[in-house]
Amino acid sequence: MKKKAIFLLLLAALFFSRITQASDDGELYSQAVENAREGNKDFAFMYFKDILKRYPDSPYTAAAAFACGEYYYRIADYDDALRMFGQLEAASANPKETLFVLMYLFKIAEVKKEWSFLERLKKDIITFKRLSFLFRNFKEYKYRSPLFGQYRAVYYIDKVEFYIDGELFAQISY
Amino acid sequence: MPRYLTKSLLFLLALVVSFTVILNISLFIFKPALDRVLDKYSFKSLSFKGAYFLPPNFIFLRGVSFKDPRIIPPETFAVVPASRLDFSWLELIQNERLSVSTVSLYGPKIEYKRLQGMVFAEFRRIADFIRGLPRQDIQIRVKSALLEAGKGSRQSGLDAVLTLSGEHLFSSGRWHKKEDEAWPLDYRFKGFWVKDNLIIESLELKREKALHLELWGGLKGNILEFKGFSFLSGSRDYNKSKAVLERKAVSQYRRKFKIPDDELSWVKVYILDIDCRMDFSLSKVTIPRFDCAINNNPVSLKGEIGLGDGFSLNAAISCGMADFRNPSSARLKQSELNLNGRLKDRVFKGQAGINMDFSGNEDASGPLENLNLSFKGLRLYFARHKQVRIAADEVNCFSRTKSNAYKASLNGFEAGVYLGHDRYKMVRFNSRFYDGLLSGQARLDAGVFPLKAYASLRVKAVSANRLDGILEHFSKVSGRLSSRMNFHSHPEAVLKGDITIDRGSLNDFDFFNWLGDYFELPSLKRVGFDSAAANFTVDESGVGLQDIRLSSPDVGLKGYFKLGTSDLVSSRLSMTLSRRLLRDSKRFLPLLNIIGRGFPALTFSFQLSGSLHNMNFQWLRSELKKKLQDSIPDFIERHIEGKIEQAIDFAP
Repeated sequence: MKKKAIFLLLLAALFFSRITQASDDGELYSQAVENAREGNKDFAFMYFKDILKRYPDSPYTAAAAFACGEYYYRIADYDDALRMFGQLEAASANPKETLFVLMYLFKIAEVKKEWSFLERLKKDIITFKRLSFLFRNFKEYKYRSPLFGQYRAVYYIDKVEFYIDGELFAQISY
Repeated sequence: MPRYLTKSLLFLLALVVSFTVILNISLFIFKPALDRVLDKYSFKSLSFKGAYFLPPNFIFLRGVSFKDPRIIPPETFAVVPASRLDFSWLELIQNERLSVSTVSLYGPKIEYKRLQGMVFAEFRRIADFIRGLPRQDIQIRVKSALLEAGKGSRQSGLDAVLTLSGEHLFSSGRWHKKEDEAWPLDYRFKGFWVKDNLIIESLELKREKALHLELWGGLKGNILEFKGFSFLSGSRDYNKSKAVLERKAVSQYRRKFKIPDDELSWVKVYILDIDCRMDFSLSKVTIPRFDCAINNNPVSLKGEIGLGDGFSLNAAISCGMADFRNPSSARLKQSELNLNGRLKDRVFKGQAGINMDFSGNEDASGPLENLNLSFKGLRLYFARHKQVRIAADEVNCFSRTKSNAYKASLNGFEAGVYLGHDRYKMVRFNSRFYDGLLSGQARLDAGVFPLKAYASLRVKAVSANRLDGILEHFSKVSGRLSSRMNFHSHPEAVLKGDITIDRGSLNDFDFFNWLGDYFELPSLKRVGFDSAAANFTVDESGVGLQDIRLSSPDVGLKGYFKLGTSDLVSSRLSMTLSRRLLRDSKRFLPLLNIIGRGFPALTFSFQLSGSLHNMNFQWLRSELKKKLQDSIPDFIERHIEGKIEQAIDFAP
């Protein structure tokens, strides 16, 4: 217990020593991405969160919100994840990002048993893009998140599959 | 016995006999005067054939009859063959007033429906009359009364006692069917007067293992107010009533009124929190409030009943279904009935409206949100043998789902409703349906709640495009439509049937338009056919067309099409286009050359999905597709795919 407290104290001290060095949103974002690339997702999250707090109108806000939502989902903090992705759904200008925001919201609605919300999200995902398959059988959309998650959505004529880092995350049949 | 005593007794006897004879002669002589007095106080509704005195203090009345003064000439609705009045000599001598202490009515025969009607219509006068009575102690006993709904109908018996003691009023009695001794209905009434207001302490109606009703309230001026509760059994199977039994409200009633648990084991329907106010004026009865909760579902009634030439009725009944646990009723949130018209000579004429709101409940998958029926020029003919004939000039049906609205109209609607069977009610109906006909029959199972309905319907020769209110796509279909369908409401509402359209065409269908524009096939904008048919299903999960069959010289269509919740489509179709048709297309000519002459017609099988108004499309595997793919290189495939995406603006 004592060791854990010391570790957390050191972690916080390290973070604050780094964060004081970052002077603007661009620099904070770079620090966040750098940490994410190195696998320090906790540090990256703190930088992204700081962008949201200090620069709510920054061009990096959407990416930071996705990263925070992604982080919250990973630690099973579904309420905060819902808040992040909910804000992002209305604000995101990147269609691919929006698709994976919908994917997260769908999974959260499933966990929280919000059935009408789930139905609405299901419809939004199904009708996200109109598709034609004349010779091919599926269409893919890919996205790399600010936390360096590799996202993939595969649309078939009667189902959608979502993958994160190569693993099936969600499937919607219709 | 001493002689003087015998003489005295004989003298006394002679005196009594003489007095009796004189009094009876007087009663005979003064009968016309008595009649006039009775007419004055009873509004010409009470008369008797003869009155006799019997010592020591009895007056017997023969042939007392009660008439309904509202009918001219007044008709008798109650006859009492023999009545006995017990009076007090002391009161008569001291105060010169005939004070009757007991009235006994032996074997009266009463048409109780007419009595009910008269009491209802003349409530104010009767209330005034009761208020005006001298406050003296009196007891009225009714023995072996015969009650009948109308002349010649089934009889029931009544024994009752009414006691007025000081300001207090008590009554109790038993009503039982003559042929069924196990049926008795017991009532008990307790009340008292405060000045001119009657306070109803309690009115209890009880029938063993069938009914328990308790009311309390008061009559103040013209206003009757009461509150109460009731428990019913009936033959109905109200699901989950046990769950309702455990509810707090019922427990409170049970404790408050000291009703043992096991006494309620038979109860299926709980009517709690009855709260009613009725205002009786000379020409109408206004009910500004009648609220209660039936099995924890709020029910409210407001209305006005006009009295005069028949009954006029203007009433609105609403019933909230928020708490029914039965899955089949879980979605019905609120239902309302509005009735406006006049009832005279067993015929109701007016308008009616039924509105049902369904829950947007998250776990309810069904798309129906609202159903509204309105009847204009409604006539209800109440026949004597439990039959009701319904006729309406116009019936409008409107329904709304989460994404669409549907409407349909019937004209000259006629239906016969057969209510003779205790449990199953039959309805046969027919109507003009736009320029065609609709007919059918339905069976309602009233033994369960909510009602179970089974119906079969037939539609004949309606112009398909007139049905665009039911499905907007019908606006693009010409031809005469006929259909047979079956409906059942249990375990879930399902409508199934088949549909045939003869000698028609599909005009400007989006899919054919797109195909026609893209492949330069203008003839696809109007696809004529001899016959198009399909089976269909409408249920909680959506609307589906199965086994679609369309055949025309140049176009054939087969497959299924389902529209589910949120307007999501699921469909597989095979479309056959004749070589003759395809030859008209410059774009198809190269395709025809590639695949050679081995195909007299080309069949395209495809799957549709996604939103109804933005459908996804996949060309399914087929011999034709394989041959085409074998003939063209991959980059051409990608090029065509890309061009189609651009053409219909699919690309992300």
